[in-house]
Amino acid sequence: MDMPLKPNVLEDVARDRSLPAPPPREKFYSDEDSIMLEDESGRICLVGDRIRSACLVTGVILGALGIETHNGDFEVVDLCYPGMAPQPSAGIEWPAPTIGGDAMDVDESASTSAPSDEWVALVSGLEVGSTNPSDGQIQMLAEYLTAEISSPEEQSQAARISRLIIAGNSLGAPTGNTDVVNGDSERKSRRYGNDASSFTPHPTQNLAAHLTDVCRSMPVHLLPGPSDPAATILPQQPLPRAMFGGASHYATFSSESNPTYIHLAPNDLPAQSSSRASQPSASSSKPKANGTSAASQGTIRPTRTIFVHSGQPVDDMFKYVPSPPISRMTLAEATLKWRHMAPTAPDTLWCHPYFARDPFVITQTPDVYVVGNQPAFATRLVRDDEQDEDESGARAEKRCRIVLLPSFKDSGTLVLVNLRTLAVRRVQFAVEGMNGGGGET
Amino acid sequence: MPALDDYLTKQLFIEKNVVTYRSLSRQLGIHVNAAKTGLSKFHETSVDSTTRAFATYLVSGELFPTAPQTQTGSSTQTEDGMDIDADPAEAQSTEEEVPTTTLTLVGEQDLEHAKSTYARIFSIHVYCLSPSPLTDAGLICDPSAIIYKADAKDTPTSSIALGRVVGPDVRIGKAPPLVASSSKAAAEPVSRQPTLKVKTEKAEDKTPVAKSGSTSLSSAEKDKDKANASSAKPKATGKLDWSKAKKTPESDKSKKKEKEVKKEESISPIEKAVKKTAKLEINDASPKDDGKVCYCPPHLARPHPYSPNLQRGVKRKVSPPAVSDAEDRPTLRGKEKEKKATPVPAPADIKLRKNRIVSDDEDDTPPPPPRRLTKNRARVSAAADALDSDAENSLRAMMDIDDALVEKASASRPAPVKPEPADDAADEDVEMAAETQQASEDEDIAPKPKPRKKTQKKVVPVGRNGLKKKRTMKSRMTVDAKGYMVTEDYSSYESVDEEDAEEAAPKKGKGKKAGASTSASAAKAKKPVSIDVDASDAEEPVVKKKPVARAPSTTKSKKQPAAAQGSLKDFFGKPKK
Repeated sequence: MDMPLKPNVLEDVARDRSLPAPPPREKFYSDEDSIMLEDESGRICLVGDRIRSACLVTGVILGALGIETHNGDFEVVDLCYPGMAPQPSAGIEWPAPTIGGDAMDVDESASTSAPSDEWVALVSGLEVGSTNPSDGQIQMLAEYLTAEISSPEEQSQAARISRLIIAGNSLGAPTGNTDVVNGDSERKSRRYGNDASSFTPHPTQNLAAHLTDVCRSMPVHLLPGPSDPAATILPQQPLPRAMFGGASHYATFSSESNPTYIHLAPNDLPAQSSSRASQPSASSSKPKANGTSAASQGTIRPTRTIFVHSGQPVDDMFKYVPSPPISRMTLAEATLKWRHMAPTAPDTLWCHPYFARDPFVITQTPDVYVVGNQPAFATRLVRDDEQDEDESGARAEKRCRIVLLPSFKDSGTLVLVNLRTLAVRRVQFAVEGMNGGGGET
Repeated sequence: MPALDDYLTKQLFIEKNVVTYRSLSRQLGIHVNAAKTGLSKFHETSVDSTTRAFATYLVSGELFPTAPQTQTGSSTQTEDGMDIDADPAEAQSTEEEVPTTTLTLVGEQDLEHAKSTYARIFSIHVYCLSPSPLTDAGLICDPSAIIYKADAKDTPTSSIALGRVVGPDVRIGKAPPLVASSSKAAAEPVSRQPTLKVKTEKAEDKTPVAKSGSTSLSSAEKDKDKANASSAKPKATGKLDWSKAKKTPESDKSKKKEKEVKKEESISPIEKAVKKTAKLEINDASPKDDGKVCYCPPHLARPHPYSPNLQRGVKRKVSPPAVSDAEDRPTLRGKEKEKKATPVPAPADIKLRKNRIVSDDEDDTPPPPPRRLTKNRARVSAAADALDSDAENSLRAMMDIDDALVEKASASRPAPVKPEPADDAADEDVEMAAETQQASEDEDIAPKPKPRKKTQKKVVPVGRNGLKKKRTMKSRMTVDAKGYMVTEDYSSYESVDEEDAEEAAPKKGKGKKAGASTSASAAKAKKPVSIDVDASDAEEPVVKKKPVARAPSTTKSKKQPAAAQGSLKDFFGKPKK
């Protein structure tokens, strides 16, 4: 796409150095944009209403059907995208431990969740260490996950949560020097009135303490985000485990790279008397067949793939499209149809140079697609409306639950996804009548 | 409970601390729910007394539906605006009801207000007690130190009794190493070696047992060294093996020992993980292999640890707990590779420098080495001619290194020299190492043919600056003076490169006219020597150049003494003026 507002490296180079650089624009979209279709042989400009209304960003692979106009442009009649990638877990029921799973169809998202269903907790943007931190909410979050807070009924509900995925921005962006000084002194006066030794102001130690607290209860996956001390180039490499002190002692604490696939499968551990779900999932690539209901499946093993990233691709794509008609959720859905999670990758989104393979191609549609650090919560169950090639009916339609996670610092939201039914619940941590980050509904 | 009351009294009123239900439970060893009731009871009693404790409540329930909907509604409004042509899918997303549970932390003064915002309240309980109303939510984190200390001290199971819910997977220990990927990472550089030896190691690498994986890795690395050696020139093979084998297998062994120890530690407590990883490895065999097809030259050790991380990061198909340590492994491997690669060129470079330093006791300035070398070369010219091709090849390689270091050398040197040792740096390094092993005589001989070739090449390119032209003239002069063939050859080079030594003479002839006169006198002096007329013609344009040109004229003057000393003295007399 040829967008005049997009930062152009040639313009950057040609710019007069004495003048300060203009601030980066929020949106590259303008009326003067032109869309080009390009391959090794050349490029051609696409015109037409179909193109104008389509949601496109740089780097999308598509096929265009149309007619060439007299001035050399290509008037598009229809577009064809790769479509959703094959999903091996489609149609395979996740075992429902207490209820007979055969009757329950996986695709019924509104089906009642069994009381001992597994849930996965998703959160992003804890932003420990930023100004105006939400430590209180994070404390409440940790207590919620360890099922100590609230009433026993809530606790038993919280006990169903089998793992936590933190999708980026765990450490807040450090502010300017002067601000840090002021911020620290402010916080100190507010918080560490008498007892200064209880909570260190060091953000990583603070975060490590919270993580250790949660790690004692469940496996935790931590992804780096835009504000974390990790490389800004995608795919961001995992944060070093040693950063997190006590949490690193736990084998179930895993530090993940930024876009990451997490494969889950039900474990065939015998039902334990602990208050956890009777059959918690184990994250491994070789799931063992479940005893109760999935035995009928034979050799096909139920798996769930959770694809998580910290939001940089979607944020970058969002700059390319006009926002009122197209939302971030539309973009996330579109990435599934395009089978590419970050089509703008080498252009405006920094990524490692890759030659042989493109690591951002979505080869298999995940079951849960999590995008972290978004301004607002949104979720949608995307189904594939294309007919599957295999008409024998053995293949179920593909479906993917897209979840856009809001920043915890701003909204205090924890999202729970039911692994069996892909239903979504939200838990909000709020503070009323006192200072403490965001979180007010 | 008197203990509880005493503790709370002490904490709240004497030490002025905030006490949360969690810290109370850890401190007194009671269940968290019991702690909550204890807090509430104490709060009730304390309200009556003069010193009162302020309670902070946690209200959990569902807020009125308007609140969450407006939130989502407002978000869609900002996104959709008033656009009627909004994607119908957008409307669907707003309609999707997501049940939301809200937990609100409120002080007792705001409790009623908070309760009014709730449509359904699941529970209210006392979260913490404090000597004064809390103004900052972060203050509830203060007692967490007690909690962390208590939880860390006892085994995790003890906190289960206190109310914590612990998943069955959670365990302390190292993340199980990904044997598969680490051995693949090792196999990756191994497979890049063109030799077949190494490829057979790849098959070994695929054994699922960690230890065998590590041993095969070590053997693979050793084979890589040998492969490097074998790919080197045949002459160098024998000595090269020693040089490389000394450094790298030792370091490899030490590293392998570390790794094996590490792997043993990790394997023994977590046996399941080994089986898992073994199977994982098989699963991963196909996709990982596809990813690592791209060829990287063997001496670029750095990209190797990087690409496995890159690909593994995105296409994560193995259990996450194992990844972090697994990534440590490829980086270890990478470091090994780097260390392997770097020791090879490093000592080679050092030794090479030693070569030059040995052969030339002066500092590393460009002019002296060729001079000294040519000196020795003059003596052993016959021997130098008798050098076999191997030496020449190694010499060329050495020359190449020299050129990299020596920048003042004539531009002609690198150009023709480069095509010859255009092999891998590894080969050069091999040759360098081989070179170093040779006797000092070789070292002397080695550089000698180099300048000879260099001088020969000097003649060929027509000068871009006066320097070249000067050299051509020198060669001509050597042709003329046949009595001192060798020495005059040498002296001519001296004159060319050692402008410093000849500065005295050129300085005398600094004036351009003086230079012209010297050249003229030189021309005159040359006549008895029966120099070609061309030489004189060449001299004049040379003289027109800057002081560099004066060197030739003065060197000519030096050569004159060989031919006719009387005229030389006269020649010297003139520049003094």
